[in-house]
Amino acid sequence: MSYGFQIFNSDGVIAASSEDRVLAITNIFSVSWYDRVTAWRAFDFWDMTQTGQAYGEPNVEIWRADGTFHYLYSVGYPPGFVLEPDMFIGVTCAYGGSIFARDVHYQHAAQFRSDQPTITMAVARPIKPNDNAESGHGLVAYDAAGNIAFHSDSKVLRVTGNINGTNVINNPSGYTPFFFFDGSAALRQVPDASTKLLHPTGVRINSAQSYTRRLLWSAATTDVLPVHLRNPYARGFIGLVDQTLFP
Amino acid sequence: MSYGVQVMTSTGQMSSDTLNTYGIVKILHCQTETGSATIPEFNSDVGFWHLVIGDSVFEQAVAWNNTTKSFVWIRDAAFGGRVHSSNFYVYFFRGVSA
Repeated sequence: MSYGFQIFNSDGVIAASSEDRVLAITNIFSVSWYDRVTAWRAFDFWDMTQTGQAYGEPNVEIWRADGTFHYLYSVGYPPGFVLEPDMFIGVTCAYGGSIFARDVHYQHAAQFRSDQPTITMAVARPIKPNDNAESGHGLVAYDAAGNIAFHSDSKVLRVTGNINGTNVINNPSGYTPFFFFDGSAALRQVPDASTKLLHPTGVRINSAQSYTRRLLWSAATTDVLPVHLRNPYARGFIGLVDQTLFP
Repeated sequence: MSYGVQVMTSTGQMSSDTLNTYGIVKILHCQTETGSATIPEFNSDVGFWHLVIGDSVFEQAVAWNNTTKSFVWIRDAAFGGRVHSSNFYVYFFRGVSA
């Protein structure tokens, strides 16, 4: 590279480069439910080799629209909000709650479901060259075209890792974890023309330091999750948002 | 800290590995149902990728070979002959430690 900087770690691997793009938080919304949905249950994700679990077995949470067990709420975007192609949507809820998402991409209206009536939604976008925030402190890095590629005063989303099987969030104090689900992965469809069911994927947020991946499934009492749907395609990443950014 | 840089910011001194934990090192726009691409700057030992579909409910099956630095996307066999996305993005994030 001719301009900017590169930072190497102790193994000689580039840890950061001014050519990298980072995600900055542009908005944080608190959004509330608009509907309670019919019976659903959520499974922990399984390995493909495992057999199905029946209704009510361990690692299954159950919600019903009549309030038996617990409610499951539908939550949408805030009024007037339009998802644009370069936006990343992260969601979180009270620790101990579960949250699911599907269709989080710009050509569809995303749906979120949670056992919490109110969730928090963060909007992140890659920092663009014209994001020339003023600052008297910190570090500004420029790319080869002379545009600002990184600014340490930006409301940078600290991406702490992808949503994988470890269930651990590397989260220092003062940050709230948000889950940025892969929109496509959040939407799984049974390959059966008569039963095109949609299966939001999500997590149970156990605490600021851990989560459990979940798959939401309609709660017919005899349903067993099809084998090909058990494997967690739920990709996505976890972003830490500085709690001082909350309104 | 032994490596990297520390920067005084308006919220105090921060080290480079906390300023930016995972940066986007590559944005790959895939416009076919199947295909492959080489991403030499990506290392899955420390980074990860994130897929964003723009035109379809059916996601691809994807695979990454960290030796050949090859990213491959194919139809998901579970969905047979159904139409898969031919307009999706893959964001490659660079990690901070090996």
